[in-house]
Amino acid sequence: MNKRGQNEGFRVLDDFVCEAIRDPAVPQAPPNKRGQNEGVRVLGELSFDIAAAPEQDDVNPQRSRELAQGGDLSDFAVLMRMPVDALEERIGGELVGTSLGMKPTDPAIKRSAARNWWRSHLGALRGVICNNRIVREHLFGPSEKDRNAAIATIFDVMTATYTGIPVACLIALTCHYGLDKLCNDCKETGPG
Amino acid sequence: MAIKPVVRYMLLSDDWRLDPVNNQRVTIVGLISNIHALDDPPFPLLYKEMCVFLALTDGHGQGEGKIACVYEASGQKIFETRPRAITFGPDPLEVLGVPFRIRDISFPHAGLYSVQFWYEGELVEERPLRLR
Repeated sequence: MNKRGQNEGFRVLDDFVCEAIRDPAVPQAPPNKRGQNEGVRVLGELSFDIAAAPEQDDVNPQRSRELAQGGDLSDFAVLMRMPVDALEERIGGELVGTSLGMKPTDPAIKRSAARNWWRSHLGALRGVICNNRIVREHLFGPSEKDRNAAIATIFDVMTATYTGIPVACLIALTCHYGLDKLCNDCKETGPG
Repeated sequence: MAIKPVVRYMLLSDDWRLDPVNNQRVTIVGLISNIHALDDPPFPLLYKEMCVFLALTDGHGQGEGKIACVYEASGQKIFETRPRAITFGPDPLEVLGVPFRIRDISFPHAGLYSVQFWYEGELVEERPLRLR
């Protein structure tokens, strides 16, 4: 693994600094009327060791870079190595903190909150995850699709569906539970 | 008619920088998609500085490029820059960075604008910019 690559960059022309030439019909803004760049919401980075992936062709690199929701762990592999209790603590901590406006310190309270959420959302989770075509191809297709692509897809749909919960941890918890177990009941129903 | 280059990237940002170790590596600072007003009444709004960074390829010879901005709702041109000379190298596969740093932009209204790159009198690429 000693054959490395480096971003070459490219030739860049000098900075071209100029005042905006205002169209005469556009009013001149006074200097005290300011604006600010809002920035953009950025999802956490999804970090995968591609060299270790079983299939590379189906990986959508853009999706594969988006995982751990803001403030969460950025390396999904780290999350997957965490025990279920630890994942539940993270999830429950966010859930209780969000609803009560405070961060509980008792791990049992956090885990309990996470388990309650899991039980009450299991059906909805199943709908969100198992009806997705890419996930279904990964689980039930004739040739098992790349797991990374399925995880990245799950992350996309869950990020769009759930707020106030660390989605990356929830996906790791779902993987612990078993994607095939979660979706097995949907196997015969066909894609939604 | 000039052959239009292909725009590999067109990025609106607060700033851009070159790596001091390798002056061909570019870092974009503060991507811009929305600008919100800080004062009341908010418009017309003065935006002190915005960069447009282009990475062009498939370019041939030399031409002039400029940035313009129009208000989408009316098609009214809001501003434009002076044109700058852009000289491509002999290799059409070369990627060439073309930065613009535009100062003192007056935005008259809230709404959607289009920031456009023009080359030799032709619109080549545009990016939306929302003011609110």
